Amino acid sequence: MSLKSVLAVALGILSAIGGFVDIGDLVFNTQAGAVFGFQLLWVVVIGVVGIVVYSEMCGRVSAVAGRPVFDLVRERVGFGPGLATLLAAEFVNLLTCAAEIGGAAICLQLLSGLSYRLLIPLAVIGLVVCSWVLPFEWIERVFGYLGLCLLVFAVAAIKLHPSWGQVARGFIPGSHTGGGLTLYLYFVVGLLGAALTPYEVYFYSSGAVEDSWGLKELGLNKVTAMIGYGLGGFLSMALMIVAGVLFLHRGISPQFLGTPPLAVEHVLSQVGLVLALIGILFAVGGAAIETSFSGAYNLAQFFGWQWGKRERPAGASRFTLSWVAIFAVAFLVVLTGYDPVKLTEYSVIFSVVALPLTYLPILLVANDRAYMGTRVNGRLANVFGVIYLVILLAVAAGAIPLLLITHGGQG
Amino acid sequence: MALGTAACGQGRALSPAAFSQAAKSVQSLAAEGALVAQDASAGRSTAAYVRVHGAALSEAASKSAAALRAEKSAPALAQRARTLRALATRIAADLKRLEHASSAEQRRLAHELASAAARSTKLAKEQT
Repeated sequence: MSLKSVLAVALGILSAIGGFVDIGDLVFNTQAGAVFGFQLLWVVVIGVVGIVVYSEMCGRVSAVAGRPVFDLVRERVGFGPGLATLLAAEFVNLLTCAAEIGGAAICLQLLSGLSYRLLIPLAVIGLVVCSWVLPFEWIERVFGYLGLCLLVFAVAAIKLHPSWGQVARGFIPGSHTGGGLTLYLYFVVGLLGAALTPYEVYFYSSGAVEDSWGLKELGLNKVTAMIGYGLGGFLSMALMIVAGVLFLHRGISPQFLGTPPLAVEHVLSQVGLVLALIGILFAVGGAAIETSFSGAYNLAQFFGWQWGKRERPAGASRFTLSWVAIFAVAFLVVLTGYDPVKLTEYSVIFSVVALPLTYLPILLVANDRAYMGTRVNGRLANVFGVIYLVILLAVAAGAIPLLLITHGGQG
Repeated sequence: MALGTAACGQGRALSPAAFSQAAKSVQSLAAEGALVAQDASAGRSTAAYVRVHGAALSEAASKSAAALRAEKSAPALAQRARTLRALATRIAADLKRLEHASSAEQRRLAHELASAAARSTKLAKEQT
């Protein structure tokens, strides 16, 4: 693979590292591993396949139609349903962005020892400056590739010598031990929600337009979606395995963002700890940028404003103002002192409720010959697309009741 | 997370289920603190991480103790609730000391925290 190709898949890596392995995944995967060991690994696989299927559709729509998904959603489903999708997506984006900013400040605190309150504005300023100054492709590269420091979790998982037979059994859904059925289902819902977060596909789709994808990039789209999200899924599994080995038998229930790096520190010492914290910092930082951009993309595309990072800020002023405003409001949410981990749990569960609103219009547009010509979904993409839509409807219906019954995953 | 639930119950009587949940939560904090102390004493951690994460765990243990203090317990639970509260208070103090402790003291604190975790597990099991 040439250097150009390696750099070209950066969009998938950023979407996966900043989206698939964001604070939601760090929280849900380690908590799931700490309670159920490896028994929920199969859910990660289902989540990865789902996000690959729908991201590939989004990338294809953008490459063929030359327009991002949200632009076409409003045109295809009309103003009312489009507005409902927009409001749900913006609410979840804002909550998620706040959680990611809080996560970035916690990482900086764990690295530097400085005050959390001081680091919140510094984190926001740093992220706004990076978003403003760096070209789109460099945002992808910096946050995507530095987020790869998270691979230390995979090294730690191997060095902890899990029972690989038990790990293999975790890929087969079935009976479970370690907690009640409702708690098990809560984690199933949370893990799927964290894997299929709506902002990932909106960002991926708009990013494809920012990267000027055309018909020639359809192959790259498939590779990017599979490698990027495959890598994200691999890291999610590593998180669950380290938690299953180190936390489960000790009865540790991870409540802090500082807990997952403890597993790496235990086997890889200080270097591992610092790499894990840097990886988390860039993963949550990348996710904060993704959510703010995703919110601005959605608004601009819905209302027909000029948009894009390639535009000069003055040329796309309302788009620029939107992502800055999302950072500003998220900053105020974090300043209230609300626990970012708790915020994450709520944002993931609420995003689950919004999942059908996100994915149904994508499936409709990807099947519309008026936009896609001969590049409409094939039979396989439609079979997977429909199966996932049914899964998402079931998961969306169960999310809030499970949140209430389990008291937010406490059992 | 369970600490939040315990705190939410302030002013109300502490139910056996809430007590068991609080005991598991205190056990989790002590076990995690023991791991932090063990790694710190072995030179596997950084000073900033030990200070910040230790303080977060200590604060959570203090909140748990405060929540237990605010709860009214049924007579059958009262003694165990007092024991758990004292345990949470001690765990919070041990975690606070971690930052400035020498390697030898960190090893001792790791041992103490592991014992506290075992005692919390016993309290949670006695209830269920």
